[in-house]
Amino acid sequence: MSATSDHTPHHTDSEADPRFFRAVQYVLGELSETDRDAFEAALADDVTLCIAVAEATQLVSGIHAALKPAAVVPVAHPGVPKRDRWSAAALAAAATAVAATLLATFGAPHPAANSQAVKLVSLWRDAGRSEIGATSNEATIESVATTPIHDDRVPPWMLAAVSLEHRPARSPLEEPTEPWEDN
Amino acid sequence: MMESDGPTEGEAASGDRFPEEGKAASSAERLSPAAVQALYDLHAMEMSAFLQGVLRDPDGAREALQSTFQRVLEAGHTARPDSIRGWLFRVAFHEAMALRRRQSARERTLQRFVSNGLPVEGSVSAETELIRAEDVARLKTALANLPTEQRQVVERRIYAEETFAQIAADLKLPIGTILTRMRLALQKLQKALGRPSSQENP
Repeated sequence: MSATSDHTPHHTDSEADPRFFRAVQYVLGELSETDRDAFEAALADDVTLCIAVAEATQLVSGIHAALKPAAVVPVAHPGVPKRDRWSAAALAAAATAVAATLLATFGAPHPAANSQAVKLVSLWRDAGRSEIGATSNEATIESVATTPIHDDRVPPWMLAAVSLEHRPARSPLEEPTEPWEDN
Repeated sequence: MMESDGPTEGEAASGDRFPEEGKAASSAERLSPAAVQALYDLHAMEMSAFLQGVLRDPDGAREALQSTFQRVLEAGHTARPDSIRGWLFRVAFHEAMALRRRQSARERTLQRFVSNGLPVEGSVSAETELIRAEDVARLKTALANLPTEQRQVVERRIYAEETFAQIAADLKLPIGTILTRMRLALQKLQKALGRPSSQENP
């Protein structure tokens, strides 16, 4: 082991060195277990092979970064058109309709559930209003006419959650009564 | 290739590959924190890339890198300055293997409870700061200039993480053809990337 041979190359000559491609395969996990063991046995003694692994990792990482789509700046509610006071009226009407449906669906047996659900609709409506308040008057009546109102509806899963929350506890041995439950 | 990084006289005399803890010199002989920091600044990125290539686990690579430079603090003074890079690689490899053995023991225990096993083969690409931003920009240009069939293999293997065998089967081509395309593409990409001067020996 001579002193002069201590100078490791600045980098492996990857264009001419098939070992570089081997290093890439190693880094990508493409070697068989036997080949990987042999490669690692060589790594323990061969600094130029270690350098090839470092370079292969950098190259793979760099390629991955280069192929990654550019980051998208997050925008609040990107697909929802801005609304004006006309849409506020539409929103209120939708919320009222949802509240009526809610009351009709879940009825009186669980007053607490109704109360929670009405609060929920109210919160949902308020959230919509605050969104409206944050918008300018750029939107036109035409845009209101084309605005889908489903954005303002309370999701069914939320209504179901409210109703389930206030349903009396049932024994696990009790027969299932809901259509979506297993028999 | 031991000739590329000669061990210190102490190591050579004992046949050890690593300076053992018991042989660590007194603190007066150790490298100063500033010297260790300088070594870290110079070699950490390359060592980190190496460790991640070996471990395929960013957290593990970080842990092994810390252990490696802990070794530098303890015994870095025993390495000759002109062979410090090789010494670092050997220590880093040793730390990576030790870490993998510990992880294997943990995983064996965990796999008794997880029927599907654990994702041992992590993605190399998950780690950041293994390569400079300007190099990524160069690679983007080089990728755009690759022949379509080569770029396709690179994208599917490195970004979509399909295996070469999967790509070959999907394209109905011999795996040798896929490997050749990948190899040719990597040659061009590596050429475009060049090698930063920071990888020179201190």
